[in-house]
Amino acid sequence: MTLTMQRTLPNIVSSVLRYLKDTQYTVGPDTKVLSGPSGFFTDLLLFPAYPDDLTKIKTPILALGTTELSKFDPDTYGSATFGITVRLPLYGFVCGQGKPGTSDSANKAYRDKLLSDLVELFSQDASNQGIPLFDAVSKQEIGEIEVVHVSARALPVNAPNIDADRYKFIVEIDAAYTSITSQ
Amino acid sequence: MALEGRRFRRRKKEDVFVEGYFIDHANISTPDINKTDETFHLYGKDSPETDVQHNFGVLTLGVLDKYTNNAILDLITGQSPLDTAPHRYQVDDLTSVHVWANVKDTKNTKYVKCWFMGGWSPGLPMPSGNPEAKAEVQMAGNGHLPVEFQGAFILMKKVASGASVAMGDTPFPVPGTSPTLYAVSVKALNITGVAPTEVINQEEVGVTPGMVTVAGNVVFAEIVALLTELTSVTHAAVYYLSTGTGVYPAVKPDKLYA
Repeated sequence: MTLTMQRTLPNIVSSVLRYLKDTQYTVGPDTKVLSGPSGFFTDLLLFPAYPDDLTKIKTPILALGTTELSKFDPDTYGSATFGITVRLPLYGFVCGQGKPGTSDSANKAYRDKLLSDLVELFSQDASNQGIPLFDAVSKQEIGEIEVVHVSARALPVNAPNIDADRYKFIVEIDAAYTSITSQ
Repeated sequence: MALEGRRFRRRKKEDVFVEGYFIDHANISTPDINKTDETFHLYGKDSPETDVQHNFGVLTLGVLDKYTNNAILDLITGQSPLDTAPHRYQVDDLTSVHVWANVKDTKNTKYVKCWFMGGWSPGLPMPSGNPEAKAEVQMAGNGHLPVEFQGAFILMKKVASGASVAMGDTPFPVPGTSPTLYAVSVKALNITGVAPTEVINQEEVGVTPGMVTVAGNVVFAEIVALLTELTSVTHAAVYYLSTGTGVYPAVKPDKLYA
């Protein structure tokens, strides 16, 4: 028996990163991407994994955690469709804003804006139009993943002497992917 | 295998077919029989004698709706699912279809049983569901009394008319029939027009011992002799039993439409 795999989980991670990197949105008069020199958050870095050492972080970071399988649904007769819902944790660490020693309000304002943009991006655009799903091997768009639930919250401070630990947050995205067989 | 709960099959092992089309998006399937309780109170007997009258088959099929066309809607309104032109689904066009489910074994290597309901006539369904839910289309209708088989499964062949036409497969005899029948159901088809916009007029006929032979030949004289409505027959659809190995898509029935 030959099993054909689609490597769905890493494909979803890389596709969400690509979505965060490429998607333009409008706030007031400005239409920009999220991060980078021409983005709303010019110093924001996108990480494909949770950072190893928070003490080394000097600029804001968005880090995708490990994909978790949230739900598996073989819910059709004949088990014809392959459907999964995965949970993607997106961790944010905000630091380096404002002047040293007076940075709390600037970091907090930056975190709140970033968190709000992410929530609206995922709950409005990605849940309605889906996130294009790219295959890491072929580099081709092979479908889309649909955001079915988003939750976001600030995380409590564990080590206040570490800048990156003071303004942490997490956005959890439940994304559904279904591989549909043809008749 | 230990005799634990794994003896009991899950219903996801059922491959649902409607007129030969594998329905890969069905999530509700409730075949049943409409019955009437009969109670006979007799003089001199404290307890009544009882019976159950079996009236007709009932079936509810629910499918998750697709962005593309839903083959069942095409089939119950007499249209080819292969036609990519815009379709209209309306009550006036409703027709009956044969529905069956073949049950796979644990390893999906063969079919081990099946149920079959001919002449299923559902009402025209509409999509349901809350905004955030996947759209569902649920069809409920009545049909012939269903039949189940253990150790055999249903296949269908569509053959063009002729004196004695080989359907290309050897049917398994229908258990318990004497004289032996080699088909569960047979439909006479009169196909006009060219695929995918062909029109198929159908008439189901009672299966006779000579209609489908032990070698799998379809004798059209036996079919034509039983017609009451159709005056011309171009094809026949033969629903028969098989005991071979393999499951869909390696083993697949013919489709009603070309």
